[in-house]
Parts: sequence; structure tokens; C-alpha cells
Amino acid sequence: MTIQLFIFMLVNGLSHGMLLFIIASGLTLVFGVLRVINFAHGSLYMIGAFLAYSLSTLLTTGTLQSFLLSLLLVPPAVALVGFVLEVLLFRRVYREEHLLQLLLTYALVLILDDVVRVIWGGDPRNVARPEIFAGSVDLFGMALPTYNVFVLLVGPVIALGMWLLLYRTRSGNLIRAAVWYPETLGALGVNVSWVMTSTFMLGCWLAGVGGVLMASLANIDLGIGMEKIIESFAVVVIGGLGSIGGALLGSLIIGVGITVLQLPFGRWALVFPYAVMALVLILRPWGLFGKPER
Amino acid sequence: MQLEVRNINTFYGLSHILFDVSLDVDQGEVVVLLGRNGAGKTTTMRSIMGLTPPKSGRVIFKGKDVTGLAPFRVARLGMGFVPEDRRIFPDLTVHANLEVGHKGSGGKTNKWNYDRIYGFFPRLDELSNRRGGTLSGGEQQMLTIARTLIGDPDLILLDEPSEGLAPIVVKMLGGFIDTMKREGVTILLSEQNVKFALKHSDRAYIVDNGHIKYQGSVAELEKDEDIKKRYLAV
Repeated sequence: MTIQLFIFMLVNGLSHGMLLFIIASGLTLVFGVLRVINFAHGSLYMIGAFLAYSLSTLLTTGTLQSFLLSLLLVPPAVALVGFVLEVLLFRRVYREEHLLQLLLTYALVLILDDVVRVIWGGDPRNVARPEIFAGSVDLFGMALPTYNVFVLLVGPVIALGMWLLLYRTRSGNLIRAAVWYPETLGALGVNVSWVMTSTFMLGCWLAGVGGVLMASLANIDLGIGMEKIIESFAVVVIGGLGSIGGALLGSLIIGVGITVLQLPFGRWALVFPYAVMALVLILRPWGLFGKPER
Repeated sequence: MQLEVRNINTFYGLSHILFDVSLDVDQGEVVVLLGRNGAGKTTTMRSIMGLTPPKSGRVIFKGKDVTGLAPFRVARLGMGFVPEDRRIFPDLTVHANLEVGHKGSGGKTNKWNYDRIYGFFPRLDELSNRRGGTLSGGEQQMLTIARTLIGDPDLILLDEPSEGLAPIVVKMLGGFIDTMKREGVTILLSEQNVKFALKHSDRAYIVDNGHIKYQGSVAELEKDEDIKKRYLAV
């Protein structure tokens, strides 16, 4: 493998890692505050991708306007679905045992995936890339799709935005306080249910952003939700459940690992996330950036 | 009466913890709830705040029935709760911990602004940029009181504030209680440290096995060796 090819694969892997980060950060944020692992997070991401597809059929697909409009409208629509799910279902299980929470979110996976099947059918779809991202950039003589570079750059923007929100705003303080002592937060006069609902909606918004980006990155079909939730789960276990920084590192490890290892190992590269996950679980069960259970 | 608790019965799951507990706190008073470990002091506080709502009975605060109201609504009506285990948000700075308490309950009046709080607790001013998780026990106790105080409550429920503190810090704490009282804050204190509690309170209740066994002025209780021996092991 030449060094040029390696760098090419690295950049490609980073852009897949960044997409994964956008999705996994939503999963880990929701877990941090609500203490529920939402397995339906992948389904929400898939809904985002299909909504982006539908919206693109209504607009002139392949234009920058239609792409930006979908980036503007679809994530809030997914957040709205999240709002309904949180208020109707999730808030009933926060105090229940993990098994019941798992049952609920797994049932949601089945239901939401079937909803997508009924509405959009099983055929693979994709959304044409906006023309300014349709070309490619030259990287050591190899053509790297401009769109992948764009996705690669969205990741850090989202990461910075999340950091600013969590560490520089009052809402962020409330979210970080709710991670530790929701009850105390309530006794101080804060409407904790609302903090939880909005955190859940933010997580779903991130899934929606991931969906919109994915719709133009590769074909979307009924399998993408399951694929990404499994990868995201590996990411948050590696990075530490509830840690955004950990999600970033974990996503990059997984994204780059799968892409780069595909060259020498082909399909066997898909074993990589689980191998890393197992290794982390053995050596540091609370994840690279996580904290041991209190 | 600022706070009237009428015959509350509180349960944790199936176990009955409080039996027909009634107590009153008048505006500006410092009232102490004494009792052994596990007697029901914390549960009484939690019931009043709505954190563990009573199954029956009434909690009336400033003339309003607050039984069964969500704790954040009770807080916004002007009741503050300082938990026994302090519960400082460890990832937030000292100042951010205060901000949560300030805006959470509205913090509309300026009676306790940041300057006054930092003047009241100079140590917190020095530590304002430190993460809450790095504070010592005494510093955490100051912060947990400050965090509730800055929300400008009319009534503070102080749950076992002296627990685990060095004698010198307990003495400081007593000073804070006296000052808060002078500022017109009503305080319902729960304590196991009888000597400390009686020094800073006007009236006392004794709770034992979830029943109120005694109520009276501090002066009366101090003379009553029999009661003290029976319920407080002093």
C-alpha cells in the first residue's frame, strides 16, 4: 500500500468517522442525561435520511438550495418525532430497569423500521449531491469526492457547536447538572422534565443531521439504521457512555479503522469495531473518556 | 404560619415511613427537627419539598396547598431544599453551580445577588472558577447552602448540614444560620447534633420511628432531660 493510497483512505475514513460522530454524539448525549440507551436512535437517523430523500423529490434535487433547505428542515422534523416519543414513551421508563428500557427502544426499532418500509418501500434511494459538492478534489493524484470533504468538515463544526452549547451556555450547565443530580436540579426550581425532553430532541436533531448527510453520501435503504446504531453503540462503548469527546475519538477510530483496514482485509474489516469494543471492555470497561460507575 | 404540615403519611415503596406527621413553622423562625438516624427527618424534608410526595395529608406553604406539586414548582413558590449529601454538580464550576440555583427558581429579587453571596461566603469567591467536584466537604456545604440561598427562598429546608464537618466549620455554619435568620429567611433544620441545633433554633420537634414525639421551645427541651435521654441519646 502506497503512502498516497493510505492518506486517501485515511481522509475517506475520517469523513465516515465524522458522520458516525454526528449520530453517536446524539446517542451518548441522550444516555448521559436520560440514562437510557436509545436503540431507536439509528431508526431516527434513517427517518432523517428518507425525509431528506422525499424533500429532494419535491425540490430541484441536486441544487445547493435544496440541500441546505433539507439540512435546515429535516433535523427539526426528526427532533419533533423525538419530542412525541419522549413525552409519550421514554419519560415513563426513566425509573425502570434497563431491561424494560431495552424492550421499549427495541420495540421502537421494529415499529419505526416498518413505518419507513410502509412509507418509502424497500428500494435503495439516494439524493443527488448539490453541484458544488458533486466534483472531486485532487489528493496526491487521487480523486476524493468533494462531498466527503464537506462531511469531514461538518463533524468538527458540530463538535464545536456541542462544546459551546454544553460548556458556554446556561442550557449546557443545566444538561451537565442533570447528568449528575436531576432531583437536586428540580429542587432548585429547574423544570427537569423539560431539560430531558429538550436533550432528547437535541439527540434526535443530531440523528437527523446524520441522515441528511448520509442521503447524499451513499445509497440509503432499510438497513442503514441498524448498521449505524451498531457502529454508534461500539463508538460510545469505546469512548465512554455519555462522553461527547469520547464519541468523537471513538467515531474516528471506527470510521478510519473500517475504511483503512478494508484495503488489506476486505470484509473482515467489519470485525474491527467489535474487536476494539471488546478490547476496551476488557482493559477499561468505562470507556476511554468515561468515568467508572459511581 | 409560613409552613403547615398536616398529618402526612409517606411511604418508600411499601414501607410506611412517616405516620401522621404534623408541624408548623412560622415566618422568620428557625425550627429544628431532631431525631436519631433513620427516624424520618430526611423523609419529612423530602415530603415537604415534594421529592417524596406523601400518600395522605397536606403540606401548606404560604397559605397554598403544595401537596403533590412537582418540586420545581414548590421551589419557584419560594421553598429551598439543601440536601444532606450536598449534591454539588461536580462538572460545573462553583459559579455555575450558583447560576443554576439563581435562575432556576427565578431569582427575580436582588436580595441575594452574587456579590452578597460571595460576601457572605468569601471562600466561595476565591474558588468561583474551581470545579464543584474538587471542593472539600466544608466548602461543598457552603456551596450547597449558597446555591439554594441565591434562588431567594422564603423558607429553607436544611437537612443535617453539620454532618461530617470539622468542629470549626460547624461553628461557621452556625454563624450562617444566625445571619440567614437575621435576613428574614425561615429555616427548618434537621439535625443529629443536638447541642449545635439547639444553640441556633427557636423551637424543636423530635421525630422517632416516623412519629412526632415532642414539640416545644428550645428552652423547654433543654430542661427536659427525660425526653432528651429517651429520643436523642444525650
